[in-house]
Amino acid sequence: MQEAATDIGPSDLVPLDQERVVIERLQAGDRSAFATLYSWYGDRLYRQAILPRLGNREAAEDVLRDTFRVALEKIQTFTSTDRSIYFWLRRIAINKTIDAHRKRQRQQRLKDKVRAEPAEVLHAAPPRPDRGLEVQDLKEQVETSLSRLNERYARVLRLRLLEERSREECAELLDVKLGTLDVLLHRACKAFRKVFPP
Amino acid sequence: MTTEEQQAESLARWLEDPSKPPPPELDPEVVEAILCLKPELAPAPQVSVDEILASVTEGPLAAPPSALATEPEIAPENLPEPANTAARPAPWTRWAMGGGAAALLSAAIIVLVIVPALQPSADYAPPSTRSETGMELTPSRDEAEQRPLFAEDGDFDLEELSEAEPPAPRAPQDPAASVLPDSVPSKHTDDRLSATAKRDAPAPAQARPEPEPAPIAPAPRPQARSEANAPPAGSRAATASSSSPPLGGSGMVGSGSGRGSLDAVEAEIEEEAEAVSSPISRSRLGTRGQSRRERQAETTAAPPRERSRETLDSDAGAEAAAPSAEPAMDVDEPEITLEEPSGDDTPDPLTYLIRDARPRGPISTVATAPYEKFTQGDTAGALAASEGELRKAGLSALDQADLLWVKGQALASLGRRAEAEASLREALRLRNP
Repeated sequence: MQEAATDIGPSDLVPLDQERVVIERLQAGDRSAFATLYSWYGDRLYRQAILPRLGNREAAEDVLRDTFRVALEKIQTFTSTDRSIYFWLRRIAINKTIDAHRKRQRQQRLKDKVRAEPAEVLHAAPPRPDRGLEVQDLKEQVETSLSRLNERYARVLRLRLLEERSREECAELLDVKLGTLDVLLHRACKAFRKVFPP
Repeated sequence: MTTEEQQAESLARWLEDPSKPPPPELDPEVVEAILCLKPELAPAPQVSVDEILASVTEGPLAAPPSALATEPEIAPENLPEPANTAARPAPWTRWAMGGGAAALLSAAIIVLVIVPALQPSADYAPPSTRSETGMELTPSRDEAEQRPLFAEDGDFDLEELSEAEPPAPRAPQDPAASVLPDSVPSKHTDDRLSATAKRDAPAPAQARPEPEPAPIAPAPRPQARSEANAPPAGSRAATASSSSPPLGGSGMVGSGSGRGSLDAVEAEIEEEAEAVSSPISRSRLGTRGQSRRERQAETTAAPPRERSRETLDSDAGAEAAAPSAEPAMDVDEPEITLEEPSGDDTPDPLTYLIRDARPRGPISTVATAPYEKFTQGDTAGALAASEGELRKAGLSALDQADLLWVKGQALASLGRRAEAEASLREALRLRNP
């Protein structure tokens, strides 16, 4: 979880001089240089910037594709400084995830309007403002979502997924059998998805 | 064992060995939650470098045109010959492929084929006869400039046509063919063409009648083409030529004054038409006999993928070339329909808007601002805004229902369930009276 929340550290990045060579080739129109850039940061963007914010793999792949398309189209506007291009790519990716959330929200709003019933509304999850994605850190969002969960659900998620404890250890700490732990974790995941992103 | 227990067991197995992909039987919501919290468990993205590069449309890395044109842009049935879709045509070519060439060719065909074919052959008056009557064949330059493209008698003004495009270098002509009588006033096409030829001639010369002119066109021309040069019935030239020889007589082709220049201009038009006619415009020639609506219907009926950008451009050009009152009609028709419901009690497509006063759907705009606040997480603001709006007078039942609905949602989020339920029930009652 820590990795998901804090994204990427400077030590994980490619040295800037290597980056500059590839960027200059891209800016000169060398399409073959893109494979290098993608191999450096494609997977990281997907796993650490896009997928945690969307959850859905297909949507995350679409955003990844769109992120690099925009980056390549605007590569002339990128100026090499003392920061890695990863942060530029990450900014584009996050903007794209926000766009994806807005799109989904519009669709959801339309559905809500059509089939608004009191019972559904009373049990509906709180609204999910997409603008929060822009200003909040991912870690804060996870914490916010966990705080909205049943305490037991939040605890099993913390123990098993964030702290990465074993099943046995989690079962012991929660004072349940292994089978019960599995069901508890399963339910906690479903509940978490409903409130994430907050 | 229940499904939930099975899924819980699958989840536990996956988390024990996360190198495997998520079990397919697992609930997607559960997988998404796990991937949100542990994205390192996600499989590699199924996005290839080539796929991304192919989607780039601008900048130094834009895909080459051949990579973009993966599908034929023009439907095969619209292409009598292979089209060059790779290169962007020059501006004048786009004009030619659009409305300009189509209008030019349509007008030429109308003048040369359709209009004469509709007129009786007895009305034909050879220019030689007209010159004998001493009528003016050469209108002034100002008159020619003021004339519309289509003359009053419905004939197409070939002088305008010849001025629309710079003419190609002319073939040497018989000097006699360039000599025009100045004394025959006429608005006829032949005469205007002769006037054009006269302007092009090096020096004005006196008209001289030629009883037996030598044919200029070496090859015999089909009758339809000859008829194309006949003046319309009732024109001054036709009236003056009651004693003219019958159609196809000796004075028909190359009759001295205007015939030769007409042939030259016709040849130019044909050359220009050949030069500018793209496969699209040639395909349009095949449908020229159809009405514009029919062509439009055919174009619209074609599958969207088969309507290329060039086809759309040429359609737009054709629209621009053919002035029409249809936009006004498009506005008038619904207005008339709304004002005059059908007399036979059959509901017209739009009259229900007048007759049916009940709200037909959630199209309220009043509730937008409170709803925006609600979706942005400002629950208290949404509640206050919706209550504020509800206090205003003159709200429709639909607006009230929508505001109550937002208010109910806000109250529910704030935990005031009893008030929320009352608000939502009232919203439902107003929405479904």
